[in-house]
Amino acid sequence: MGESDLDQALVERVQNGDKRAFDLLVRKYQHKLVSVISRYVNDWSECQDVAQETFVRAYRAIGSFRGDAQFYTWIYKIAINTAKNHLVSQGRRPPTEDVAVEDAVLFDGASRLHESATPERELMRQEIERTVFATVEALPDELKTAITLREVDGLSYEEIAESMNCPIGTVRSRIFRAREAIDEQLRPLLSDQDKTP
Amino acid sequence: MNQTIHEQLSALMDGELERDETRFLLKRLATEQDLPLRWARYHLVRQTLRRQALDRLPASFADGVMARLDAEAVVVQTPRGAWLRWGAGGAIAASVAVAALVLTRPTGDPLTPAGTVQPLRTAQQSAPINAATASATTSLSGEIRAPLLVPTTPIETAPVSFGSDFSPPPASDPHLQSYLIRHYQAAGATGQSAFVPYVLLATPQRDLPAAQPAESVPQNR
Repeated sequence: MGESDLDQALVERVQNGDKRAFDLLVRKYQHKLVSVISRYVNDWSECQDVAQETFVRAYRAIGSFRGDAQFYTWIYKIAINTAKNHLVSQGRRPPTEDVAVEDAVLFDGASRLHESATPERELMRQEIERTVFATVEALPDELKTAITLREVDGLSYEEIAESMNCPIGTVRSRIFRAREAIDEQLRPLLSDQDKTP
Repeated sequence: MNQTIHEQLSALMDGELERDETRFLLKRLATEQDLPLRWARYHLVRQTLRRQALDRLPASFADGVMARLDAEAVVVQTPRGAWLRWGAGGAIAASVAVAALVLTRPTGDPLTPAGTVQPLRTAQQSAPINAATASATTSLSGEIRAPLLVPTTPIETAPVSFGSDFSPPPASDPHLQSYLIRHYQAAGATGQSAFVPYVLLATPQRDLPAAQPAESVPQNR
């Protein structure tokens, strides 16, 4: 089961009435979606409202999601439409140019519209980035290689096991230990950020 | 125990968790508050490592979404498209059936009460033709099998296999009709084809206009 298969499995659970599965989808895509929305809506508070509205609309309509496209592509379109509707309702004109979903996940593509991040949000993003990369650099080699092959190169456990010449169970354990090490460093930072008004 | 659960969570986000473990983990997610938060952080790390654009939302954001779904009793809407398509198809089929019934409404045998179903001779009911049945059929040569639809107006019959040049006679000759029908039945009963292919052609009894001369046919120039 790949990442997109996991999304489809979660969607099917939601369609069968499992709200916890939708909670996982929200937590998985919330940061990416609000980043897309922020290209259309300047105000950070409004961005969050639009993001929330996007997820509510997605939940309502998820019964019609058949898996023809990836879940993120589907909800991305809902986010764009919700953002545009929000602008129209505020008497503002939505931009005529959209960011393609493939470009929206990259920093360069996303900046094609306008850069709306405030200095505080930009600082927060940089801190997260610095913490994550510094922790990865400090990891033992086998953990660093495993997490890099998984997260950056997108290899499956089986492919990583072949590449690192070790059992799949070992790969699973190494990736988990790498994540735990990063999370340990990140958690206090995020906790502080959540406390900041 | 927690380590095991967390490792399962890590495997789940990679799509590498077995189905049974997934089911078990999703149940735990409902009861352990830390698990959804950890899931969100793991994904934040993933998106950072992949250098994807992201703006971090506070941890309470997802709780707010779920609380709103609960508060507004938002339900997953079932797709109506498929049902509409089926419904529309059914409605069209029903309309066509009703229209067909209205337009070709059989008057039925006047001796048969309305609503009585008349037995119809079908291909399956027709016995295989052999010499014995052929003679029996021939013996009925004077009879004409009752048509399924009895026109309310007198009809005349006319062969249709002569092409468009053929003009039906204005008045049918009963002797000729009788002969043709007997011939057709006898030939058909033995599995042969009649020398004159013959079908019943229902045409209202009226004075037929004389065949128009070819010159009077409008021509496109």
